[in-house]
Amino acid sequence: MEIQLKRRNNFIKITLLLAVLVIMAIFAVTQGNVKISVPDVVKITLGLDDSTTIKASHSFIVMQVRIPRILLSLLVGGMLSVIGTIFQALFRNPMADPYVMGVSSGAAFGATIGILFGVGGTFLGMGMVSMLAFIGAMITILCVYQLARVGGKVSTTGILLAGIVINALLSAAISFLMILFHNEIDRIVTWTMGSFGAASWEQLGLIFIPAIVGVGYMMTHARELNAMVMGEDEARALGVSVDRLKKVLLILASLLSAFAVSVSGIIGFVGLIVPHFFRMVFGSDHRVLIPVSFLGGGLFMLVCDTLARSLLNSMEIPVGIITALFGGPFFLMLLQKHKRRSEGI
Amino acid sequence: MKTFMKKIIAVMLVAMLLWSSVPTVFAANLAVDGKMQNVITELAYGRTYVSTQSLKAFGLQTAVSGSKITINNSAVKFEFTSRSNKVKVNDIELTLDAEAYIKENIAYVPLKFVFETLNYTVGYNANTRAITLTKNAELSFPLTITDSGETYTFTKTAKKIVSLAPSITEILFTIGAGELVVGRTKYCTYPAETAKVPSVGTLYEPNVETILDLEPDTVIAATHMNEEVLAMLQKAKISTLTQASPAKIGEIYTLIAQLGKLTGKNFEARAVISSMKAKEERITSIVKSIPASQRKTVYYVVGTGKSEYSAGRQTFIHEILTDAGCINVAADVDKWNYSLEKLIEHDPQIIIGADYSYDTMKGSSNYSSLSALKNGSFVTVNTDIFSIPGPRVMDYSMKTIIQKIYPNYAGNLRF
Amino acid sequence: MIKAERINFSYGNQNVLKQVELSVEKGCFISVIGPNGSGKTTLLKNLCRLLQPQSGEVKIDALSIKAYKPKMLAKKMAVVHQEIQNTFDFNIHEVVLMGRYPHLKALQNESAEDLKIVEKTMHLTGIHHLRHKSMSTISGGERQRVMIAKALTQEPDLLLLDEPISHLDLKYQLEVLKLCKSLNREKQLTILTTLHDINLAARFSDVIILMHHGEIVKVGPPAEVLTSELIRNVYEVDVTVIHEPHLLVIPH
Repeated sequence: MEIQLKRRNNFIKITLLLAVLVIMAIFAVTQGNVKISVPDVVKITLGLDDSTTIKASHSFIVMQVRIPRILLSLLVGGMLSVIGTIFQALFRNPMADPYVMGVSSGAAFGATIGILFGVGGTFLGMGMVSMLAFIGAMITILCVYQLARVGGKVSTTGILLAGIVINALLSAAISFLMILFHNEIDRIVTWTMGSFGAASWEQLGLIFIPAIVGVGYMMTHARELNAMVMGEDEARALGVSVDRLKKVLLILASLLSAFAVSVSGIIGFVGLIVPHFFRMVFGSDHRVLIPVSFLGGGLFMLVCDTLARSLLNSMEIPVGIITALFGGPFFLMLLQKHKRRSEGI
Repeated sequence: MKTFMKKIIAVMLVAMLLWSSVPTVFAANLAVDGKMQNVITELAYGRTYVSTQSLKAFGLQTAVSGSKITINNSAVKFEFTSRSNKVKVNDIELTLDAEAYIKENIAYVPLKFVFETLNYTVGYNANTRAITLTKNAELSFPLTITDSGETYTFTKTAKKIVSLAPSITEILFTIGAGELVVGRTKYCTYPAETAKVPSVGTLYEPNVETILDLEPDTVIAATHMNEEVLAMLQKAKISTLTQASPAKIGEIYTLIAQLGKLTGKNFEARAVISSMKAKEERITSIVKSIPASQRKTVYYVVGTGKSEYSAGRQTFIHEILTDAGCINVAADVDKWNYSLEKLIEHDPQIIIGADYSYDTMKGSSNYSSLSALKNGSFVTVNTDIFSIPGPRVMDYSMKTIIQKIYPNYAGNLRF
Repeated sequence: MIKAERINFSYGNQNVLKQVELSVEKGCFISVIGPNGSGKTTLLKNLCRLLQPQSGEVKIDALSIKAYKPKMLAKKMAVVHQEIQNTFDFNIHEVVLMGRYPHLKALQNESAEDLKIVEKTMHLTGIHHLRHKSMSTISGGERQRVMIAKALTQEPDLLLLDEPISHLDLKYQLEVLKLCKSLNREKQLTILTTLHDINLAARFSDVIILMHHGEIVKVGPPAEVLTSELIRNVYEVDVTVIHEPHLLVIPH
């Protein structure tokens, strides 16, 4: 039967994707500004290192710096892609990305406050700045949600508009603060560009469970998302509880994006292009698209971050710049395709 | 008759001049920790000198060979050169604002400098007319440093340091702790020896792997660094120290002293501080002699073009300007933000800034009303040096201001 | 099987449906006609719970519509809308398969049984040969048939259609209505559709509901409803109605 064939094909493709991801992750452990030989890396990972043959700092670098960073970038990349996929379906808008609910500017604003006024200290692996970024993101989500709510229902257009307004407001506020405290501009701008430089096992532990649980839960609504793509009324006619679905998914997805942003800053394009790319390869069925976006997004982020931290010897390039360098041309291609198609009609 | 009188007056003037430069010898009273001692001192170049022979009473060995004057004990060694204001303390070289000299086979060195370096506080009791020397407490570990509400404890001297701020790097090298610096930021470019030290990135985007690989025992930053990076370093058992960037000249001295304690270069640190304070005193007395009518209004350009940034109150650049006898028109604000309108209204006599700021101002009609630009009274300085709160505040920043703005008085600088 | 009892509905301050009452019997083919703004679409939306009336009740099989859970309702009735805005490409098979949604649990995969039903409805609507194509590459008429196939896959008792043929070519207009008629006749599928074209309504319907300004003016077989007097009152157009060979309304 055709469907069995299709399912088999997809299975093969997904396994391939997973394999590439694992290989890439292993390769990434060997990369970095400090040259550590591959056999040393293997020994350290397997716990076979002793301080006589391998420098203690190398062991530390591999176990405490690189490995958590790789895992974190995989996780955050996967999260952002899944969120982007969900939003694109919910809003029926190919331009939707994880930050439509103002999460990016909310987090940036919180981080700015933290940088300018906060005290130091860490809590559960999160610094003050990261905590405030998270809080900023949460408050913004609630504001946007309230603004877009009419009675018990949430209008998707309302969300997009409210998100734009809040983004504009907060961005202006941040610019103003940057001018007032202009010798901290460097620090603020660096934060907004996104980076995994501060990754640690603590951070990973903090978001691992919310990420897996969140993505898993969203998976269970995959079929409903398929229906949503046809239109809200269509979905309702099929028996989907559209309003409840929107509320749950919007809040859950925004929560996850707040986690992601507070840990790694604002990294664009991942949540936007990865879903589109995999839609072209695997089709629009969300039961396949969601897990694939998760894997693909993780892989994409891993590649970008590995480049970000090992391309230049003297400094780290903020990973948001690398994703934009990839994302920009891809986006143009997408637009071209869209233009051609709409002209053809 | 008239010409004869002129000659007499001329001779008398010359005699007076010669007299003032001849050191006046007197046996002075010295109170050391309350006990009176007799030492030979002289007053010269506006400073009190002590004879090297008198120093023997303090457990110091002295030797004079040609023009080289050596003073040492088991912990520290001074090398003065007669008729030169250069001195070597252990391995570092400094310039003082006064020269050592040899007279009738006796060597004389600046008293305050030597004793402050030896960890004494030097004062003057007007009642007893005695110079007072009080020994300060010796340093011991554990060492506690408090900064911006945080307390840092160190149990031993730092041996391998990564410095994340240009001012810190500069101070470390100046006090002779340069070989302890194993890593620096890419902006730490002074002195020239820093080129041999590997770069670890920038303060806000430090390369954590590189820092770890250098295996330092201490990382020092001048401002709050990323907390997660801090946590990572602490996890790797690296001590971290964050020092707020000095906003006053006095805070620079504190910073130098603390870095001296941390690296065990206490003599060198005290020597640097003493020489800086002496220069500061000399500049203050020079400035006192500048009459109020000759004081200039100035404006220091930190940034210009789209918005104006200058040195308002609570910045150490403001302190440099005022200590050097200038009237800072930007003193009507705090910190760094200024406005074009205020600048035009104040219309300072002199504008100080980088050459690219000059180009910006000259190239825009906004600044065309400023008389400083019209009169060519723009003083170009190296603003990179000006912005570092470190030893060159005296040697470069203040000195340049006096030389460029009060050139008639620059001759008295002596450094 | 579906009853509307004294429905009042307003959009904000605008009262669109006034005391509307109607009763649809099983196996009937009913068309709702009337000028623009008469409330046809609003009525349909109230009947399938896309809108909630401010007062009055909609009952399905004697049970209030409010008592139906979404999936339950979707098994009872299916809706075909005017036009779908499809930004993403599903292929035909995937779209029709969505009709099985009300019958499946959250994580349940489609069974062989479900797939058979999809095959059946695709054949019924004559789109089986298109099943691999994507939605954006087929004609308007074909797209509408796909939506009907999807609706049928829900295995509903009642099919509601909202202006299903307004922007189709004549050929496809007839195609769609003929399909509906045959389903109505052969499968006893109750059909309620809003239509613009009076003559097509006359040709295919058992019962016509004529609406005007939010009220039902007349309910009955076409010949009773389509009189020149009623048409003049409602449409403000003078017409001649002929009855042979079949009912035809000719405007002057």
